[in-house]
Amino acid sequence: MRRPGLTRPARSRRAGRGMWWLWLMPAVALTVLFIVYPALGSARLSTYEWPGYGPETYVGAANYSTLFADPVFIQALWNTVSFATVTALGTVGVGTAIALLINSKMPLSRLLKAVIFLPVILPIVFTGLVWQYGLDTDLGWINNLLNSIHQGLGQGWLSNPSLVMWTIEAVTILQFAGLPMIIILAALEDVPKEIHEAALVEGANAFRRARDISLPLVKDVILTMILLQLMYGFKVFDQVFVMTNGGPGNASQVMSTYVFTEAFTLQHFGLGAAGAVTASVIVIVVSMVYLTVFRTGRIERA
Amino acid sequence: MIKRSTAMLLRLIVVAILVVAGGSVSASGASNQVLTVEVWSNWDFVQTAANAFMKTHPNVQIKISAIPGEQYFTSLPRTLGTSGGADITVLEVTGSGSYQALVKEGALVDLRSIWSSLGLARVTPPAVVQSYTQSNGGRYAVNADLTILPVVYYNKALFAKLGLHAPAGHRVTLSQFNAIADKLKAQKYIPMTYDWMTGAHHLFQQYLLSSCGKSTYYALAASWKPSGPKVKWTSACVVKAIAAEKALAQRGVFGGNPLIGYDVASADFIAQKAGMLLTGMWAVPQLVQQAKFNWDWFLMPPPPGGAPTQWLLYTADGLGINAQSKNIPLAKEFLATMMTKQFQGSLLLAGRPPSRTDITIPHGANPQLVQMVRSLTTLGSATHFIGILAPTDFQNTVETGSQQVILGSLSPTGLANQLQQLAQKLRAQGA
Repeated sequence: MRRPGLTRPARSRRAGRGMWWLWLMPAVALTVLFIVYPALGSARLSTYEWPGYGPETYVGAANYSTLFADPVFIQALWNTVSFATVTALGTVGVGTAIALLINSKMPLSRLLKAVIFLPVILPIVFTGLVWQYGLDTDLGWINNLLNSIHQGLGQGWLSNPSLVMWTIEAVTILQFAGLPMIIILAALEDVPKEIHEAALVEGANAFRRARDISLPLVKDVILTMILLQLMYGFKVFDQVFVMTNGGPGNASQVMSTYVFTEAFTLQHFGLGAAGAVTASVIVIVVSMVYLTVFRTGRIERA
Repeated sequence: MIKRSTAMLLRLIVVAILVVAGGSVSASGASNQVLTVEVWSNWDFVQTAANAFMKTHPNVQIKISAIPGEQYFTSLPRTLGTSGGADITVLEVTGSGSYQALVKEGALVDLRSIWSSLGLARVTPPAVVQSYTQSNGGRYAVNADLTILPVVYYNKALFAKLGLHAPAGHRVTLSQFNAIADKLKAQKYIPMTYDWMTGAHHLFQQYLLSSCGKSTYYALAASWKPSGPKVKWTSACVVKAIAAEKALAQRGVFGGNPLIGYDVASADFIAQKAGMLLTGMWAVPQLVQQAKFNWDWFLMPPPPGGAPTQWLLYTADGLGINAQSKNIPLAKEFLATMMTKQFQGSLLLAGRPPSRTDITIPHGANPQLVQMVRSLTTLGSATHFIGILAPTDFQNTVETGSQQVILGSLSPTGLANQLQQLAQKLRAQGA
């Protein structure tokens, strides 16, 4: 005897199967319109020379040859990889450390949480301008403070080619460490208290409990945050554009600012599109490698 | 017999028709025309002109929208020449690039009639007339205002305090300038700030003109054209000009860390941390508002062996009419009001040098700006800014290359070589 409620009538099942595409249509339409179409358009444009007006001239892969033969692009590529790596590890590292501190119920932890998270919600253009003045060699408060400690400690943070990328990376880490902090803190709060209590009974101190209990249990979340920060880092534009515009002398050029300059300043739209396509491919490859190395399944569960 | 609900519906439809028809009757009675204008966001003077025009033309509504810099290059060339574009638009009137392409495609209205009715060719600097006149005699834009550069602003109060002699006649020799810089440096001031980040090509061009002379300067500006003169960027005069900039930096004229942007450069000067600021005339409104000290100006000294430095003219601030506009006569009428002697004179009150040379100086105009405008003929031949004669690739190469020269990672000869290679590449592409 068929148990009532466990199976649907055949007609309803057939109708349900036929409707699945309808529910997918809006998402597919948006994806095609805002992601697939522009991506294909960029890929097509990258095989043409076009100054933004008049006819396009087909050049095949010439734009890519030009790109990889351009030392400025190579510098931009290197700077982008460096920025993404340093800021991913830096923001997550600092965020994790602060999350562990806050999770240990230190005094004023709520205030610290708010203060650390606040810069995350500020516009990058705003913070970039503030830092630009703060880091000024002669007027900036940072050098004023450093020079008051010891004359000569102040540096050309944004005007010295050896320091400029490190400076931008440091500013980014300071601004965005709050985001991984909040997420990792939420994961830490899910760790059962009994495990910590048991470790306390065993004589484990706070550092050992953090290292041997908390961190392993939130490892998947940390790895996910690193991936997300990496992907964000590869797209960096605002900080560089506002603080240095790629200078001094291309020392802080990144892929996004390179593409922007080629397309909108020099009106080499084909070359700019080639740069954009190359940057996108690099992000996809890095993401795939990362997901493979750190085992996709575990990150999905996180 | 019509049902009650149907009758109600019919009544509602009739009422709606009457309302719409009544509204449109009143609207058509007023015959409102709408003129759309797209300009740079800081061109407030266009709104001023629009307000005055709408007062005398109550049936006309002028809608002004700001166009961000990068959108100028992406959307403007595609919308001009179509009915979707604005009636009037800002145009960078340059010797190459999108402006010339727009003229060639017939996307712009020939504005010869405005030029001739107002006699603008007689009362506009020759460099401007040359820029705006095509080979067929057509003129597809009017020049809204002028930008003149570069200029050194100096802190008169600080100079007096340090016993420095202010230059006479807005000129200073290299030895006088070096003495001023050395004294400021000794007193722990930054001698002179300069926007090396985005304005490095300003001083470069002024020194190029001084070092190479007008004829070679213009030949270099045209060297990228397939049929252009075969003068080389590696010429000795070019290398000398670049070397002179480097020498200033090595002497500490720009302070210990010279590579700063305009915002920081002007802030250093206004905060009286720097004795001088090298930039263009656009700094005048900012200095009037923010500088709490007396200031004045002079032109940079020439490089060693060079001719006296001159003003450079950025003549590219144009306004043109979309060939597909449905309001061409009205648009011409509006543009003409912005080119009258009276309106052009009023630009000085907004801190902008006018395009016309026959204006009456309005009461309240900044005296230093007035002096700058009056000195266009005495302190130079009003030569074109090279950036508007050559593709932007040159400007970009000069900017980054100059920064590298100052840093010591590129020699003056190296930058000259880069420019020569660029000219050869563009020449080959043009062919």
